[in-house]
Amino acid sequence: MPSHGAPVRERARPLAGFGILTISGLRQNVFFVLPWIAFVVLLTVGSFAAYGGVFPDARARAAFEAAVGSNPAFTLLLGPAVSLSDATGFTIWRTFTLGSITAAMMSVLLVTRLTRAAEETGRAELVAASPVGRSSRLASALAVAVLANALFTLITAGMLEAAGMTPGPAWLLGATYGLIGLAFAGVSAVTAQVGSYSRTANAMGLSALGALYLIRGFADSTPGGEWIRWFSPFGWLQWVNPLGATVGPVINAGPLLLTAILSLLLWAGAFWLSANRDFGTGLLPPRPGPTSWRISRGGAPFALAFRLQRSAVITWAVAFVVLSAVFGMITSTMGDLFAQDPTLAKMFAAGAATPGAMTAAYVVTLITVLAIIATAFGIQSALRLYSEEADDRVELALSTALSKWRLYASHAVIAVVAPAAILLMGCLMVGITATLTHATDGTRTTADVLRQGLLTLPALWVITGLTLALVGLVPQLRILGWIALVVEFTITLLGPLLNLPDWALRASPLYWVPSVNLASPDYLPPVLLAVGAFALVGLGALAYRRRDIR
Amino acid sequence: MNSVISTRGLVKRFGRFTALNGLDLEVEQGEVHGFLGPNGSGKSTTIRVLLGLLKADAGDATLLGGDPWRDVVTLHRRIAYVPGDVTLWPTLTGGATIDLLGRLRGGLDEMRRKDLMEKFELDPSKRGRAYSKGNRQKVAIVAALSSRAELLILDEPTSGLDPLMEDLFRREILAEKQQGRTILLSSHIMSEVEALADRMSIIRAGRIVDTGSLADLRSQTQTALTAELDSLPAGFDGLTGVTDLVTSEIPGGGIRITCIIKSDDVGAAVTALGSVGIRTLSAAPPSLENVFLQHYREAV
Repeated sequence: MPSHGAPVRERARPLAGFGILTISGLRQNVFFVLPWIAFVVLLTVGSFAAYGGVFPDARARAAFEAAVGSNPAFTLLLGPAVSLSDATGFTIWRTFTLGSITAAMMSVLLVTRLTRAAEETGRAELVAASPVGRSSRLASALAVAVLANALFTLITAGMLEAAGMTPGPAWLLGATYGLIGLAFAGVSAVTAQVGSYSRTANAMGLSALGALYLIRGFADSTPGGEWIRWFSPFGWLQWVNPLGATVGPVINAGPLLLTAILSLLLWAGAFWLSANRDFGTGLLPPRPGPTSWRISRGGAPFALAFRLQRSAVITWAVAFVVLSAVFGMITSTMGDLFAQDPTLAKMFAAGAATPGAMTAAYVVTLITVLAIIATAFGIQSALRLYSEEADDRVELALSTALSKWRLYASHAVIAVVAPAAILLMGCLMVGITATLTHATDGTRTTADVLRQGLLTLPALWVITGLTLALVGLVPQLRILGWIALVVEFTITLLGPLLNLPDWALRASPLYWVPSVNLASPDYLPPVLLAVGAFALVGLGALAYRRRDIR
Repeated sequence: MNSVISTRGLVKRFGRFTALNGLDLEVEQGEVHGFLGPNGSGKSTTIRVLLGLLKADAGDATLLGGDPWRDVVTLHRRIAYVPGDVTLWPTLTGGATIDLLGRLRGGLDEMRRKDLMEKFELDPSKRGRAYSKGNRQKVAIVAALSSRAELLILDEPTSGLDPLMEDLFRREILAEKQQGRTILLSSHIMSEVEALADRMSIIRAGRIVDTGSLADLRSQTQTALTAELDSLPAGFDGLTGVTDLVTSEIPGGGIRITCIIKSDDVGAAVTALGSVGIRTLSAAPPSLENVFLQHYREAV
């Protein structure tokens, strides 16, 4: 019998199309990956290079080591310091955790982009309909993550070696970053199968990251708690001790191997889950939401803006409370540290003589740092007005009786009020924790810290106002808001150390914030800053009203 | 008749590109006005000017007696809009979105909302990011139709709807018209416009090239004629008004012709054919599609 009607039995090829998918995934995400790597290169190489200048002699180094060793907050945040008496030890201590978190975050977001987000937007459907194997998309997403983390390791380790670090520690540090990245690529590959939306998948992946990081912090800052490290890969990797590589062949590769095994297990789990679910859905089905929304008359634009920014506001508020509490706890050791180290004192507590005054000056610097972080939130919030436009959502809203004026105002109010509120909340936390840990000599109170926070608000608003003005006037140049923040950060925190001229220091809005520690602070500059900031907000409103919506 | 929409010499440029090049559009009260043109001809730009999202570089536009750029808020209480590609807020449910848009506009007919939601089989508890293209479209349609707006501006509103929903949409639009509402219906689906529109305007390269009822549009145009004949009459090719003549032999004798004839010259042409023995003859009035294609062919 002729068999021309029988289906051609081809060998099943679950990974058909893998190569093409990997190459295109890599090409589309190279500019997503590079900034993360660049950040860690700056962090590591910067720390390595700055060490000699910040701690010029043995006395300064010993003082620093003593201060760090005596403060559990540092251990909680960055892990225990093995040695701070040379640049390599300092760099490893300072960047080990931060670099690992960066690699992990990059991997979580990258894998979600390539898997769940692609399914959500429909890009993946085109791919799934073409002759590619069932497992190719996930496999290629992981391959892109492997390549990205390999780049991470190569570039950071290579740059550290080029900057003068001994190869052993440099490559062990780099390998740690790459491996934690692979493990979190696995976490994300699993969450992408579980959540039906990229938001859900990312939230689960990043929550896992946060929880595992906290477990490690808990393990390191609890006396006798080293065994708790077993519960977190961040904890395992603390045992790598890259510094060991400088003194001999005592390289502890066990944790690296363990992390690699964990990654493989997670990947396998993701493949299994992926093979057992339908395209476009996750294991967690989307929950139905409310079928109606009662909004008070006239409050609709603000209800919408707040609804859109709600999760950002909550996230920032929580992060600020935790961060400020930790900062407040560190405060107690700072006065002693500054008394022994003039360079650090210059950086953080300029012009103070007694330990008490130094602590007070340090608190002012702390609030400056918090203000810079809160400014990032202000910029992000102000840019929401623009992203609503770029995503074509304002068109529908503006076709109603909503004026552009009120649309602008609804987002501007959040951009002005929310960062200010979290900054004041942060100040409150610093004040409370510093008082509880007896950081202050009794002359400074929580009320003083709050007062300092209030005086800092106008400087925070200047850059938020600038961003809003840019969105109104020339949205193409909105990136200048972020650039202004980077410039402000550089001038304010590094300016005094780099001996920048006065005119340059004055360019930062934060320069004009008076200190409540002075006998008679000059309140005129913050008033002028506030006037300028609100003029910018108003300018943005006028321009936004006059310009076309894209 | 009162004009609900009236533009005179509207010009809008984006850099070097001129999107609207002296657009005159007239929409009268109580009519469904079809707005026809292919992608990139300026339909959406016109609508965005009418909605006050874009400021015209030159010319005048009047909407419900007001200035669409200046009187945004007061005018928008009286109009409802359905974009052709609806983008919803990803975290808001369909129901919440409809309520929000209603609240922003200043009112919503609750009964109508409920009724439309059932008719269009829209699940209001899904989040914006979970809706398919057609369902996103339905959210905007329900929001627009349950408003008490006098003027509906619809920009390719049925893109992504299935034929059943498209049919339902047509019936709803006719019901809105019965209520005395004015509707500007931008579309490139000819059958939709043919079925709904009282009058229509054809836009080409940012300018209205033809406007009127379907009959008006047809009258200035041509008839498509198909015939089977024993032979071709001498000189038929050179007859006034006859163009695009195509002939083919019928196997076993005879000839089949198709041609386009100016409407005024159809009589003379048929007389000429009568002399050679007509086997079959069909003369179709030009469909809207013919009219439309003709306007665009002229441009080439």
